[in-house]
Amino acid sequence: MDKRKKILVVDDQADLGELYKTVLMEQGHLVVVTQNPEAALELAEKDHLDLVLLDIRMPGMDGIELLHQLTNRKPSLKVIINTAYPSYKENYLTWPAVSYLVKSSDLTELTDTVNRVLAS
Amino acid sequence: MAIYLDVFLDPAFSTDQDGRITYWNRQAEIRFGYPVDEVLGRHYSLLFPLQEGSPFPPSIEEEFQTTGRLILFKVEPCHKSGSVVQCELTRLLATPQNDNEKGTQVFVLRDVSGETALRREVQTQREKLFQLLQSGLTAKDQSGMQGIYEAILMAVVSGRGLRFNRAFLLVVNEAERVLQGALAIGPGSSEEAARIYTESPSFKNLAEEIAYYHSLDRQTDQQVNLMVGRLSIPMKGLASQWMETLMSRPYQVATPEILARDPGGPLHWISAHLQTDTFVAAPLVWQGMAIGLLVADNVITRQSILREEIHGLIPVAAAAAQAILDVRLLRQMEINTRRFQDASMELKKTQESILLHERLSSMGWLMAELTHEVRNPLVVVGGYVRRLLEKAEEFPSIQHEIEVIAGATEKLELILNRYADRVLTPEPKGGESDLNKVVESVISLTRQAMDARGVTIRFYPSASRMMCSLNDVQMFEVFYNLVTNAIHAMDQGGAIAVRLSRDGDRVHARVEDTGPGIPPDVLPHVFNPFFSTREKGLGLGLTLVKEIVENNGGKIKLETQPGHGTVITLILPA
Repeated sequence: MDKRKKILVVDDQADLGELYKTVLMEQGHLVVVTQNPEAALELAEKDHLDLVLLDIRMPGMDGIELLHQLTNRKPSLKVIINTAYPSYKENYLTWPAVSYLVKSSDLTELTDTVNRVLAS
Repeated sequence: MAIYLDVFLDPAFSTDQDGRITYWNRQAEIRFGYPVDEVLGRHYSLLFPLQEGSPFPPSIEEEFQTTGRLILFKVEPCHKSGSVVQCELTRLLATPQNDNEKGTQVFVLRDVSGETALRREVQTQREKLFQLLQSGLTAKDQSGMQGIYEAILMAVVSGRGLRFNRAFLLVVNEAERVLQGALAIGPGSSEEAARIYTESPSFKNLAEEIAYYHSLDRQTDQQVNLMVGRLSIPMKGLASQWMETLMSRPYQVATPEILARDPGGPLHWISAHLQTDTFVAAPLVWQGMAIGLLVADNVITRQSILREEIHGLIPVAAAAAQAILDVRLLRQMEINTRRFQDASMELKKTQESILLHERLSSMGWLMAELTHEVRNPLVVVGGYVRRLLEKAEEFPSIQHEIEVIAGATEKLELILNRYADRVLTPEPKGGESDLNKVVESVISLTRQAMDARGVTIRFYPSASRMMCSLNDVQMFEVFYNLVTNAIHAMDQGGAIAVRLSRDGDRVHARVEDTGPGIPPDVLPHVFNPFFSTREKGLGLGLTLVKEIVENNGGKIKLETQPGHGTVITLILPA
């Protein structure tokens, strides 16, 4: 059986999703990317996911709403918020996420956090 | 009989039993335009062309034939030119002294059109005062009030008005509870009285008459004004009772006999102060409120005060009361208006500060939007470049180029972090910051700008780690702004020095420059939001610095010497 962990990346910027996919696959994970929050819900429903990497500002359903829908349906699902906005960290609605990252081109923090969360 | 008619100040004439005019006085000549020669022997009906023969209806004529008198009957005789003169007519059957005088009638015509005009004039004055006050003239300006007083008193003494000799106006001073003299008008001698009443030119309106009056020698007026100015009757005890009694009546007549019956009363004070023993006092009352007192006498000509003259005084007093009250209300209104203006100024200031906050927060929002839009592509570029950099050995020929791109994107991200929305909020964030490191990163970020302008910088870090209890990002913002301001102040080159030192539980930071300093007229505004002397500046830098420092319990001090430079000192909690 495949021991690799499965990560879902939700980000409306396709090229960012690609970047994350490349980097995380290098870390030895399985990565699925979607730009559509609705699709993310569907994927979480029918597939087993170990982790969701979630952007906040997206057209349609925003990341915070998606976070709540995801954690309502799969309470054990781990979600990391990865956003361009530092300010949402103070918003208690983001607190169900296990971690909060501010997007940076230095991806070490991202990979470190992902690995730490998956190992816990 | 002729001598008797001449003393009348009103137009008067006599007729024989058939109604043919036998005497025509001077006032009648003036008022109706017919010289005496023209009317003698003619029937008095020539004065009443509109009534075709007789101004008296049959019943009135019958009454006169029985009683021999007709008092103050309203008639409308015409001037020779044809203009109607509103009059009250008194017609008496004279007691004959001899056979020749048998059936002689005396007619006295009292011109009431003048009084109507005067009342109208008082009203006009009130309206004028209203307009003046509404157009911004302050009620403190006494001329408006004086105009009212003058119009009232002129109505009392005017030859076209009530024809009293003198008039005095006393006004209730609510604050001091006294009845105070306000203004007086009147001649000082019988000669002057005669000049005013008889020889004065005819006036079209009261304004003309007041103007004429102003042109007269005011010496005598000063005298009566001195008298009235000294008058101040306390409105308490007996005086107040008397005032109450007085205010409940339309008028009070004082004669030597009446004064003798009431020794020591306020009537005596008035009598003594105004040097008169025969006068009439009409209270100025408006809806039960005592406003003042109008006093009139005939002390100069010594003519007794006629009942109809007293009755003429009452409407003038009512108009005066109303006018004075208007002024009082206007004054109150003015005070209220000023209060309202103050309040709206306050409101405006609040609105401005709200607007400013809105601008600041929308600016913050804009920054947040911008950082989001820029950050995403920047992360993509930076992320891939870093990956390339890790494999740089594989591409030695372009290794340098990759390093340059990586350095540039890193710098871009650093700049972006400054503008992240949290940076624009000066509220305490907590945390701590190593100032040595912060200053070093600011210097590295601004190095290029300094080099471009020939500005050098010297940094005197503290020997040990210099921790301060402000958050890293905020401290970065503070020093970045101070250093950038210094750089921009020295376009022609110069030197910046940054010094850090510790003083007990406080950290001192000094940023000095050798720029042109801040001109005195600019100095008060440097901490104001959106104030900038630079074309491209937002003017938020120093505002934010000050707010961050002060909101975190620190202090900021600015010293400047035009031509020599500026020193900004921060005292921060360690």
